[in-house]
Amino acid sequence: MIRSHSMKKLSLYADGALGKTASRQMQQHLQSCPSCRLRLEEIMRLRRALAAKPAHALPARFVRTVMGNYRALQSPATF
Amino acid sequence: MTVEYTDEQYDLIKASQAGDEKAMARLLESHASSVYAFLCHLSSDAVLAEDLAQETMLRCLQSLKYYEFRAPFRAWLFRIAVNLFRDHRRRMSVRRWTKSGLYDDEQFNLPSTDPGPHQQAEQRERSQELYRALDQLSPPLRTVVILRDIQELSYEEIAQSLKWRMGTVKSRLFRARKELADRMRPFWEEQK
Repeated sequence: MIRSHSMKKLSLYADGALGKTASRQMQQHLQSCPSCRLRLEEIMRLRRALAAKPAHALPARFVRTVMGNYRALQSPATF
Repeated sequence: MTVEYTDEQYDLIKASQAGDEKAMARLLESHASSVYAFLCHLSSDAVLAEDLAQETMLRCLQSLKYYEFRAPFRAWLFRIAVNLFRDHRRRMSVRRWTKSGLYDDEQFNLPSTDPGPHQQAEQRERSQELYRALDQLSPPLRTVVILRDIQELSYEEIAQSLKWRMGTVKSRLFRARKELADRMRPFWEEQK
């Protein structure tokens, strides 16, 4: 059973956010631990799937609308 | 923390701060898509996301003069978006997010890169399951995983966007990924 702090380290390792020494230790550990390799593969799989999540297209009028609203707020109100 | 900008980015922000409307429009064009996409993922509601994205960009223009290049511009902008979304949730007393069907691929007519209809169906099913799992995360976990794994913000940018300590970013991101992996594991094992 993998310990949760190891999972946390794997998450950091997947992001390249471990320090040099810790990263080297993790690489060595991964060579001899199929369980951690599997968990790392899961994290990488999640990252790939989420990165591929379709982006929603911005409505064409978006920038014009915001600029219009901005100008309206900048100009003095007339009554 | 040192914030690095290209000359072009820096000039664009400075020109916008000086009131150059063409620069403002270009600044919006550079960032609006990612803000809108982020809010779509966060709220699962395209109409709400558009409203909040408009409000975010409007507030950005109004507050631009106070931006001092201390934090990355993207982190500063996402912070406005996150705050507006939180305010909205508070106003609406929304306890459960989502369920607008935003994650239905057909709604967006998304093309698939898979060759066969059977594979397409399988891939769609897996994606839908992942998006449902994402939907079920608590708001903080969902926010951090969207910012990191979909919007690809750095840990530092996330910490500044959410005003969390770096340790909190790391531990919540780990918890989010663990919950997602736990939920997806049965689907992955079915494929073997």
